[in-house]
Amino acid sequence: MIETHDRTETPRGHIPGEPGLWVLIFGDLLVFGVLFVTYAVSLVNDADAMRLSQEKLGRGLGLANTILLLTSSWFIAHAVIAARRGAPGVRRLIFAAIALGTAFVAVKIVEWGGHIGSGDTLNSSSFFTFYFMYTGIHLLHVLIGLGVLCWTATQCDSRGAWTGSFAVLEGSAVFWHLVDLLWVMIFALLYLLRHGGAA
Amino acid sequence: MTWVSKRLTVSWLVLVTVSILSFESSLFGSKAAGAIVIAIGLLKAWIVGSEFMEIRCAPLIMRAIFLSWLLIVGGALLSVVYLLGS
Repeated sequence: MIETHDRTETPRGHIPGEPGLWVLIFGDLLVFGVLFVTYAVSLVNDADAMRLSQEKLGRGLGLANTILLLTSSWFIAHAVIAARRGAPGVRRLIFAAIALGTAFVAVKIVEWGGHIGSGDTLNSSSFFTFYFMYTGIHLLHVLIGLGVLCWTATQCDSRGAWTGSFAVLEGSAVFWHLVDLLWVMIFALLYLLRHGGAA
Repeated sequence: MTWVSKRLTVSWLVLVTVSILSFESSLFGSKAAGAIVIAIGLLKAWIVGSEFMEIRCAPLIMRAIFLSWLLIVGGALLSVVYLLGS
């Protein structure tokens, strides 16, 4: 049975997860903000060469990965809601988020394998240096996030209801959403943003 | 029973829809198309932060930091595309 509801589960002024986690979250956002602007400057200053390499990207794979992570975020957000209600099935929702995150990694491996097989590596061009560096740092976040989610899945009872600390589940979910947030920016900038003339 | 949040589901639908819509708009390569791609990326980041990360319910200081990040990064990206570009 599926029931929809609009009532917010979060009281005003609530900090999801441990407050200290947000220092890491905002620090990560600051670092990636600098990386994004650095990339944009290179894209504009070396438009022709960057575009030639950028055209080799599989934009469809980027879109697929975007939808995988967004859907994974939806599941982990619902795991938090279910845990707050004391409902069973939290573990099932966490597993769904893990499965979609793993699919993201699989798509990324296929994508990287294709580029490396075609001779486009970390050192082959400015664009691919940015591409492998940024998607590599992001992939590291994905793997850390998946590890954390696997650990949270062990904190459920036999009915799949949450038995651990709410701050731990909320913090794990917030980190997973950060992975999603960073990816939507990487997708926009590396896969979609063109500069100078029709691509 | 499975609980489905209408608000989160609508957010997810908007995120997926604008991702698909922004897919082809990127091909034009003009400054305007670039600005649209950046704006859509920031809009998606804002929805993920506000709704999924629950920053919209967080204390004012956290909402202010997040909004500042969006405005500063967005402003810098748009400035680079418009001012540095040929």
